[in-house]
Amino acid sequence: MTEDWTDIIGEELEGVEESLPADDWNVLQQKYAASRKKRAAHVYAWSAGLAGIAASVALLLFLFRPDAPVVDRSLIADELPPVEELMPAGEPVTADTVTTDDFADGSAAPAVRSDVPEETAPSVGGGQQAPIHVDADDVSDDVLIAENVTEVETGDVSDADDEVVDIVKDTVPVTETLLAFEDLPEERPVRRRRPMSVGLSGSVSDAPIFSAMDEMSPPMGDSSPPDYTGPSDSSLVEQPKQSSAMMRRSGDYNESYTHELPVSVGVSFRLFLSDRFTLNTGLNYTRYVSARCRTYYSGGYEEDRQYVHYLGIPLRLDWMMVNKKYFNMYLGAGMQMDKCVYAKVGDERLRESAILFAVNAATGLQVNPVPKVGIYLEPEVSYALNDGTIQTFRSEEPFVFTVRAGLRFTF
Amino acid sequence: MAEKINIEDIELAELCARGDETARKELYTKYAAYLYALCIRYVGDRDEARDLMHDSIIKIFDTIGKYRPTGSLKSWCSRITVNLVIDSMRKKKRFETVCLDQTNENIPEPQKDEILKIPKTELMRMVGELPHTKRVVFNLYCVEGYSHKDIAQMLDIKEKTSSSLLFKAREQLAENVRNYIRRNGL
Repeated sequence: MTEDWTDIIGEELEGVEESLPADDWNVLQQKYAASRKKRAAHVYAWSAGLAGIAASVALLLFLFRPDAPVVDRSLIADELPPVEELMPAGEPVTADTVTTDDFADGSAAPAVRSDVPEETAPSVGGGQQAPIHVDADDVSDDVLIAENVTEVETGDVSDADDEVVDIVKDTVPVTETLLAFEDLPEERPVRRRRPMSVGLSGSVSDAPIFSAMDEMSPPMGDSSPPDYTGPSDSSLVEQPKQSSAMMRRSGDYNESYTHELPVSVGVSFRLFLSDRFTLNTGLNYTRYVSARCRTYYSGGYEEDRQYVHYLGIPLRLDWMMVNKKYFNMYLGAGMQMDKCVYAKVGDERLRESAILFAVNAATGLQVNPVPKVGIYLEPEVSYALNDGTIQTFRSEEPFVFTVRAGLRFTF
Repeated sequence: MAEKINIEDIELAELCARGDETARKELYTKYAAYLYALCIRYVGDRDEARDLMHDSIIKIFDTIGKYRPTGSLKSWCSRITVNLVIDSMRKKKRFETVCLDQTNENIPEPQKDEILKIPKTELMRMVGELPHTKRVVFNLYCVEGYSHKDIAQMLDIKEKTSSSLLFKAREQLAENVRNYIRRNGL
């Protein structure tokens, strides 16, 4: 088979080698180390994000399990007299004489004292402590009635019967102490509505750790050698949607981006999982604005504004470090999903199908000048786990510092 | 043509996969210059080609455990590099649609013996002067030996487009070769 002339060129070029700078291996090693570090950071960030989600889900499942009545213990605790009044010193009630079984949730259980010597509760069998308690069948639902405590059930501890009864008589002024509980309100489970907050916020992001974005935007597109004098490809037909600017493209070019700081606004929802933990979600809109500059080797210059609009759903678990009436301080960690909803550069529409993920950690300060209304400030650091195809501030800099401020209404 | 599989390469790959730094440096010494030239052929610019070569070697280090000695290590490294270069160009939207209606049939094709007289560096330069898409198709077809079907899949274009692009690349290259021969009196 006869070889084509292009095959000859192919064979000639196939084995060609180009000499490299002497320090190239060192440069490569540095890049390799940086790449491994970046990959490790990705793995840690993903792990942290997934762990955060898992912890949030586990917490939600735990808190919202079907058999978990929420009892407002404060209702009872507020009306109870102090324990000291119920149990004056010198008139002890022993742990062995009244059990707390009837105060199942423990909230209203009287304090018990174990100042009766251990030997007063004799052992049974192999040294097991004798279960001496007030028979639960003889008391009303939740409140102990002293009159019913006339008989002390001692199980099979026949040898100890007399001794135990003596102890009870000597140490427990039953009628005086336990009657106090008759005045307690009936303890019943009270469903408490979990408070929610709705917030409106605005934020601006930057990458202060690194140099300014204007300086770090690398040139993109073709960067042929300076002495490039190749023929301009007048046959190029650009994207389906052409603009006058795109028609001017007549060959290879240098492309660079200058990014403005991204600005976000959003609405947030905060659900109180407990006194200390809150789950935050919402909807954030972020706008990325950039200037794209193309310098053509044929001599042309083109600058276009690029607008990229993202909608994001954050999910964050916050822990209240300080939870006062007029002031809250919290720490949180979570993630955010972002989807590009609209993007264009010049008159050209851009498509971005990827869903972008980021993990974040934030601290927040909230001042509540009036009840149910708070003003908050949230510094946040976030790390972008993946990147789309459109060049934005985010794609240039995965680590971002954001300051968010807003209003939060609790109801 | 069956590829020569070097036992040394298999051992080298195994050592690299275990993270042996000396083996990695040996692999670099053996193939970096070749991969660098390959990248230059595709992107034209030396600095960008060097960055891409570094990226491809990093990828080779990371994935060398997947190398199976069904082909030579050199071909395996080339494939990784070519894929990486094409991905990079696709990301930067270098693949434009090319209008193929203009043809210049007046340029005679160069002869084989004429080609052999041209230094390789000049051939590299001429190929580098082709527009992006044509250059990539020419390299994939004529140097790497991919079929139009493979090229169509790799570049997400039609097979017919691939062959048309090659035709245009040949035309332009023929013109460049003719000009060089005329200038240098070969």
